Amino acid sequence: MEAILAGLTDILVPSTLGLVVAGTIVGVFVGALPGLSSSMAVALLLPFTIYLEPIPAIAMLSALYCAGTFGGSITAILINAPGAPPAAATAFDGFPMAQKGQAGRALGMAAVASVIGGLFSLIVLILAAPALARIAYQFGPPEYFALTLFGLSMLASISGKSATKNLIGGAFGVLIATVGVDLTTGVERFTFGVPELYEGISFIPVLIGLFAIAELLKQAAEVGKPVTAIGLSAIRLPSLQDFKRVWATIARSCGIGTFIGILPAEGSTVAAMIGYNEAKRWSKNKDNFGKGEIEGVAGPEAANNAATGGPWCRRWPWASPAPRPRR
Amino acid sequence: MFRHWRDLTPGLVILAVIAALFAVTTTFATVPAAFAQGMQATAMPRLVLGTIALLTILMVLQGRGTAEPDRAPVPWPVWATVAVLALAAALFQMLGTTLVVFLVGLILPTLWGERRFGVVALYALSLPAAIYGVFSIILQLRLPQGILDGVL
Repeated sequence: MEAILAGLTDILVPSTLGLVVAGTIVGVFVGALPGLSSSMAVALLLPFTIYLEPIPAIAMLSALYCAGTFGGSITAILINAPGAPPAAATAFDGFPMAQKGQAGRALGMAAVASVIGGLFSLIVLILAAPALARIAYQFGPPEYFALTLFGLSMLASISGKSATKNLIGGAFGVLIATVGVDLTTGVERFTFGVPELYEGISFIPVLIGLFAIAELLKQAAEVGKPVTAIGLSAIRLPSLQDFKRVWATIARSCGIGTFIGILPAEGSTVAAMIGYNEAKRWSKNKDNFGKGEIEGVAGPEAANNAATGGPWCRRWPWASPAPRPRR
Repeated sequence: MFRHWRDLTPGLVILAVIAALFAVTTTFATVPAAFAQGMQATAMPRLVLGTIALLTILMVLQGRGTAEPDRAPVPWPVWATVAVLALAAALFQMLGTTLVVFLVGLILPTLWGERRFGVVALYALSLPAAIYGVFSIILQLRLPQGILDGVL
């Protein structure tokens, strides 16, 4: 308790709070820009922290990272182009809500779910970080294989009515991941002599191609058709009725996000996808998913922000790898 | 006869792509077994390609007996947009980010029927300027500028 109070005393200084606010604003802005993720934003701002004391610097970068994770949902909801990979799942239902004139409701839910997810992850980080770090380092190849298999199996139900088509799409995703130099053998695969492909195709160009270009072509097909202007209400907090509908989804996603977040090599994007899938699986309104269901916004947003605290567990001194059990 | 095979056309296209990509995997180099750790570079792509082929055949079989739904033909602006984007991608190395964004911003709205040329020009100028300002000036990220490399 003393440590928590000491930490609060260090944070609740006007200059540190000012840096947190600045980090949040820059994080939301950068997160909303398609092509820049919160991790890249942290990397870009890292040189500026040379002139800062460690605590304000860590506070600012943490705010930047969390805000960047939320920021991606703004463009995902408004223009169907996720600003950052973790917001991809938010676009599935956020954009249809915006098309129905409920962009404000979707943005409000994204903000609230993100805050709850982030706070939950913070509390878990404070209370159980050493234990979680040890669990994370117990994860070996069999556990990762099981998690990957679980992730791929989710594709069967994540969208549309045809599980086979979803799995074909997922398999093409895995195929894209094989592009580049094979890490084990050093052999080039599907690079066609293009140097830019040696390191593979990163997630952001694929995301922009799948969401933004697809939306652009969809808009091209609508050229000449009369459109109805839809009133766009400003950001507003979800109603009590919305909360009653999504509280279980947010609670579930908080747990999922925190667990996925502590695993090395996993992160907010995987957490958001699993959060979305679980929101759909447990929802009473399954058929409404993909058409503008508010649970489809709350689930991934709570999960991707809950995953932001996890990586800190592994960065602390207590997170030194425990001896691996012999397999 | 083929009217009652829903997904047959996309299925055949996918299978053709799979066959072409499988042929590409035959060009991959091999390394001595000791370095490969039991799995050559071709193994994973071929496994994935085989999985996609099996799933595609399953998809086609699932669509058997169901008629292909009537779809409206793809309107010409879609093809024109695809052509402009493909051209932009092809010219990207030579012209650079700023010039390509300017040209796409100028051509696409005009192609889509916008006739307020002043607005189009303003949009075409302000979009690359905003991107240049945010990425190159504020965030200090170097964007490839092609023929404008010495200027920007």
